[in-house]
Amino acid sequence: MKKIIYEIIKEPLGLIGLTLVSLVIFLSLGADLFSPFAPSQINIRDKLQNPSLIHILGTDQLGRDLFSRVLYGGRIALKVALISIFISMIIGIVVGIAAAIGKKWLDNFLLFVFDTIRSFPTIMFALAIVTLFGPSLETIIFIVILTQSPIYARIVRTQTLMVINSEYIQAEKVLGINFMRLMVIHIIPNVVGPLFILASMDIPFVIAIEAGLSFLGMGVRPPIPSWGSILNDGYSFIDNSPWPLIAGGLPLIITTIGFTFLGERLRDIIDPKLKKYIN
Amino acid sequence: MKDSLNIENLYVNYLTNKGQLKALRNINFNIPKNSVVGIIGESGCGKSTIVSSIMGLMPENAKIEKGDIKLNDNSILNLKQNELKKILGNNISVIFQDPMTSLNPVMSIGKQMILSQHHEKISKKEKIERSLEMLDLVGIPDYKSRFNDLPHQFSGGMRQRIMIAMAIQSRPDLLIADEPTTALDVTTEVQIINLLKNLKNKIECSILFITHNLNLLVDFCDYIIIMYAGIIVEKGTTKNIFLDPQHPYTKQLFKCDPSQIEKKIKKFPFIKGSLPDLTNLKNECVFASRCEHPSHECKEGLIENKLIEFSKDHWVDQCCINCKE
Amino acid sequence: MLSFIFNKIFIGFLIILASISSLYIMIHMVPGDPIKVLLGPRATIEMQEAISLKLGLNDPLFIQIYNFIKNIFKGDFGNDILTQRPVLTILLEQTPHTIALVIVSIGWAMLLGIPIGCYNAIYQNSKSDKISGFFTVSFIAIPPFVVGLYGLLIFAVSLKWLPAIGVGESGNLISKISHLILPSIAVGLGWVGYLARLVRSSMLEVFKDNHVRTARAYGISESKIILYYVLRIAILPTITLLGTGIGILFSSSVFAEIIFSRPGIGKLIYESVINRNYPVVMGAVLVSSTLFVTTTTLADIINALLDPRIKNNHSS
Repeated sequence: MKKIIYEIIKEPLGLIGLTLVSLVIFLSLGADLFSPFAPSQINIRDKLQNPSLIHILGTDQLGRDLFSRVLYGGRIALKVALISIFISMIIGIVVGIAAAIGKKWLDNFLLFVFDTIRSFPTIMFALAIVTLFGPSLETIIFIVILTQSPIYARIVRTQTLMVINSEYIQAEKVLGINFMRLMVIHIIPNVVGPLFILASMDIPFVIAIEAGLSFLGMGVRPPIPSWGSILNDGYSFIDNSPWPLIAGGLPLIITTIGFTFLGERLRDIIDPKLKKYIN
Repeated sequence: MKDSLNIENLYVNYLTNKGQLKALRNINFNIPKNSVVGIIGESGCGKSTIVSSIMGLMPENAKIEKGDIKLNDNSILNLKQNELKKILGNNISVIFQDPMTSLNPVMSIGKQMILSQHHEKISKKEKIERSLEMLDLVGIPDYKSRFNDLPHQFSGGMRQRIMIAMAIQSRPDLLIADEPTTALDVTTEVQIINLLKNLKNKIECSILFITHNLNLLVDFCDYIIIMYAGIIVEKGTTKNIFLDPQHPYTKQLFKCDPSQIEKKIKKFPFIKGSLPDLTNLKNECVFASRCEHPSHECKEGLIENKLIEFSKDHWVDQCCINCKE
Repeated sequence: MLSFIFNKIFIGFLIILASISSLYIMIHMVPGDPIKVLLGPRATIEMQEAISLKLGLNDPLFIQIYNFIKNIFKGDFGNDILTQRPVLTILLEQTPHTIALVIVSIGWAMLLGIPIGCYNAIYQNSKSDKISGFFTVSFIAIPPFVVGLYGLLIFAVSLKWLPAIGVGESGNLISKISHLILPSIAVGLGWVGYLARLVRSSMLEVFKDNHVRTARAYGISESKIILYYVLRIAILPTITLLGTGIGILFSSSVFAEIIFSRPGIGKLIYESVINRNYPVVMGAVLVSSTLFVTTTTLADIINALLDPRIKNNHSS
């Protein structure tokens, strides 16, 4: 573990990524500790103030402290990311392996479904589902799972096919291989690596989807502070004060850049090892 | 101008994680005009490094420490990039080992042959004619209709012929064939060697032929150079080397050649041991660890690894010249 | 070769069909009366019955889908529920704006991204390579709508250098272009990053290839090598990326249209879903699916044309 962290820090990209990610996680988890105000605390008199010693990032149109809202918004972002990616991974593994080992028609069918889902722009998909089920955090998680699991499934499928078709496995097949053994010893190790890399690259993407949908009003209901909804407020009041917009966008930028840099560095580290393993 | 190529006192190092890898040490040989010189040695002996040194296409971590390389009596070692590019594909041509990957997969062979004539100041039509002539010469069937075909539409042997056609197109002074038949099957190998022999008679050029197949050397070359672990251990005319090999490595190479085996034996002969670590050369004779009869002087490095003239046109490493084997 | 193309087109067609049908099914899957869902609380009994009849909602599902598709071929996409204007007209009005935005965004992303990637591959590990690497990854990471919002804030609202809203006056090219600048930056910035990185890594891969070594051995100049040998092959993944990334582009353009109040398919979908303008939604889905499928299929075909190896292997 220490070795991995050392490897990450070696490159400036990794160092920056790890620092930013740690900062975000730390501040979000400790939102209770760090936020000077409750995120929903309304104080109309103080509305749309510029940053000051009391309100580090200023206030929004209802006088709520933006800094506190940002911190709690981090919790939402991380929560959505973790839950949806985790579930997507599980679905992806099941469906991917099924497509790879199963019958050809199943494989073709699943690929077809995947392409159809992809042909829907994410936004459209999201809008349709929100219209049906109403806006909420759960709806967003559901949307993310629906759009992302095919991607995981595809990677799992590709990796599994690669393993199954490798000459080594052909040899074992001739000798009569046991299904569990195939799964555990050969398929899972080959699948875990790329999956992990995909997940780490996916986190910033999912956080962006959540923020985007909340920005459009499709996500969490007020007064829950998602970064997207803060941006929404900022957009509505852009002529009055730039600070809600800045406050909403800044954490998004920091988080997405941080996770992406970290993911890139992780991929560089894991990838050559992966190539070695497969060969 | 007696020689096409002169290599004098060449020392080449690679900078690696483990330190300086001394790939070539004290390399000296000549390629007389219109002769065929063969280099033989196992993987890692430095034959590819010689090729890249001559071409000036070395990787970034390579450094030429000492020595000189002369083409037609002109030093080419420290030429600038643009001057080097004037020579490559013009005075020097190369045929590489792997015909399957040496041609651009998305460009027709015709176009590649035309592109490789970029040194010539002739019209495109003339370039096409020349290419067609060459393709005919190397024996590509239907060469006119296949001029616009892509490389993957040809077999390995055919692709190598195309590479040869490209190489001789410019009438080079020196043709370097870097293990041209290693990736081909035996039948094709024979065909390619015969082709090279025929072509050499038609087009006057010198050939530097690199291989690890002894038979090919003996059949085709005028002079043979035997390399081991970055040095030349023996060199001379084919006749001298074949009839009277001096160096223990040379002798063992001959012994290990399956076609030389006269009596039935149970085990394949092989040379025990492996190459020394070129980043960590000890003081001993470089071949000492694999020699069957290393003497005290060999192991202590008391005799330097250096070529001396054993007889006319026959040079041997002095450490092994007095070997009692 | 021809069979390859037909195969692709056929599958594309099936995908469009599938997306329309699944949307239809999704709408009808909601518990309760689909009409109430569609019309929302505004629905009076008469409106419900009228819509029900007109949209044939009493027929079995697949007949509805069949009728819908039949009507499409006749050019009848139905009418906007609110304004009663033909959906086809609305689509024809809005689509060009989105297409313009997408083309301009991709255009300058390619103009900037490909040379940057190329330069960085040639001068690998130089200072500029490392710094560019930092920026390209950042461009990819930052969500496009944040870029749009900040662009709006800085350049339109604060500095007032660029317009904030709309498409510009019709007939006035300069006005139209100035209205395209900020939205296309929002949509295209991420693509600069994608393209730069992809071109860089594919070129580095090709640099290692043996046939590049051959070209060098013939003294062919570096610039010729890059143009004829390396780029020719390295560009192929770029085409695939562009083809498959259209979905992302589309999402980004939806945000850009909303943030900058530009008319377009994206904004249309957004508003019509919120307003429960069901025929418009169906029409817009059809357009976007078709655009997506067309671009991916085109990308695949162009790819195959340029890389003859794929042509011969497509059956695998």
